Amino acid sequence: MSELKAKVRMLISEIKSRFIGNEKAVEVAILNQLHRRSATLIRAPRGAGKSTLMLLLLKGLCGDDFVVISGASEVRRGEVIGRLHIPSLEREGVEKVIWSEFVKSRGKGLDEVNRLNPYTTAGIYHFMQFGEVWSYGKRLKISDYILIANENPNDAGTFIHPPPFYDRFDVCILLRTLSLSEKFRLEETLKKFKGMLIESMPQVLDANELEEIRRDVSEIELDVETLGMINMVVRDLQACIRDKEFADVKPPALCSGCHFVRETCSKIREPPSERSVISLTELAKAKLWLEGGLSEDSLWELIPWTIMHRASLTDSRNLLSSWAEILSKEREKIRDREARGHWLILLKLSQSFDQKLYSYAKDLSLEDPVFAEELRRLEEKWSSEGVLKDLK
Amino acid sequence: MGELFRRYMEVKARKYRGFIQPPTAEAERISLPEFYMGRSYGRFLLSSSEAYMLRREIELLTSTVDKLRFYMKILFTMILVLLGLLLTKIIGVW
Repeated sequence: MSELKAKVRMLISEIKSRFIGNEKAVEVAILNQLHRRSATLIRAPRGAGKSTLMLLLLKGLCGDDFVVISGASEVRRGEVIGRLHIPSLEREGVEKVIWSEFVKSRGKGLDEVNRLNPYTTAGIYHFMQFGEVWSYGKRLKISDYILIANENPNDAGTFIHPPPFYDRFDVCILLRTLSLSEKFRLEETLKKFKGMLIESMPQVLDANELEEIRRDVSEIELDVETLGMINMVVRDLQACIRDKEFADVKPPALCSGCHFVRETCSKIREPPSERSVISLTELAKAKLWLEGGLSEDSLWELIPWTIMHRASLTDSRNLLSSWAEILSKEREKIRDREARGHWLILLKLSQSFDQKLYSYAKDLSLEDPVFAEELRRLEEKWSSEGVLKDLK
Repeated sequence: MGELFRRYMEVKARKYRGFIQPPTAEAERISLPEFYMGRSYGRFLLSSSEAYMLRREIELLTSTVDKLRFYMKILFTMILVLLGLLLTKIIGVW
């Protein structure tokens, strides 16, 4: 196992030696390749290195066994999924499907995915969701793969893909442009590799090694506190006592007059999906496998990459700083819950009803919608058991 | 309540070192569904993280004031001892 870890570290260092800047993003992108059917989305302005990073990752993991589709509105479903074999149809009247190389290949790249037309994208969405593709009534099961897509959604020619499509990507890597000193480092790097950053990238892991790593990572078990933290952060970003998920009016309009108007919930227009918990768990397992430990700080560093493309904010003028502020408050809130004994009280109340504890729990609920949600569940249980009679 | 969630709460409960404060009179009176229907009972509209930070600041201030109070006591004790010595010297005890 330590040999495989050394190889992953070598992959990180080979990519970092060719890809300047955005170090954290590169590490997260590599960590995300360590679980089955990984899907990575790279989002950046043009010329920031989206395609370079995608190709470096694909080369490092697949050698030359990968297919890249360049997004353009005229790219048809037949080119990406499968097309009819015309001679068979003409001579024998049989509908035989020729599956595309993209579908059959282990390494899949989608350059400028925002320019792919929605009909073609629907086919890709289907295999990400169900692990299979359909064409002319024929089905093909897709084995394990590495999918890396990139886009600049601000470019002209962009199709607005539905949020469920983006939700299928485990992480969204945001790349920023290079600082002055980084630009000088890039000059040196280009000189060192004679301008051939991608061509010079070696295949560090073969298919069997990656399969073994993915198996090892899937067998890692996270401790209950880490799992609790992951679930709590996502729930904090989802919770709304006015059920925004089912409301036509979204925050901030929905929050008018609400007691929690200054809470995190009022800053989230569309909450992240449950898939963010799965993606974050996979990333945490990969980090634990690679580094042998997972600190609270490193878990918090992983969180933004799994939620930024799955949720939308009421104020998205500066996405990175808005998320940084929200997550820093979240961290304080989680500490506060621990400092005030929320979970001890809920545990005791779940074991037996106690009037004093219940009143204190109500007090805490006034400042915490997620805790309130759990207390309301208990109230309903007590009410059905007849313990709590005057529940309004 | 799920087993995993119960285990999480047990771990957190074991690690809890504080004490449970007595509930406020307001908490005794309110009903959560009514409260969320729009009555805010005149509470400050602070988010829990803001409330936490405010509490931390108050704790820090309180500990600083406590320290100051301690040093002031020492200073006053020293002044009293010196005054006592001065008084005894004036009246010719030594």
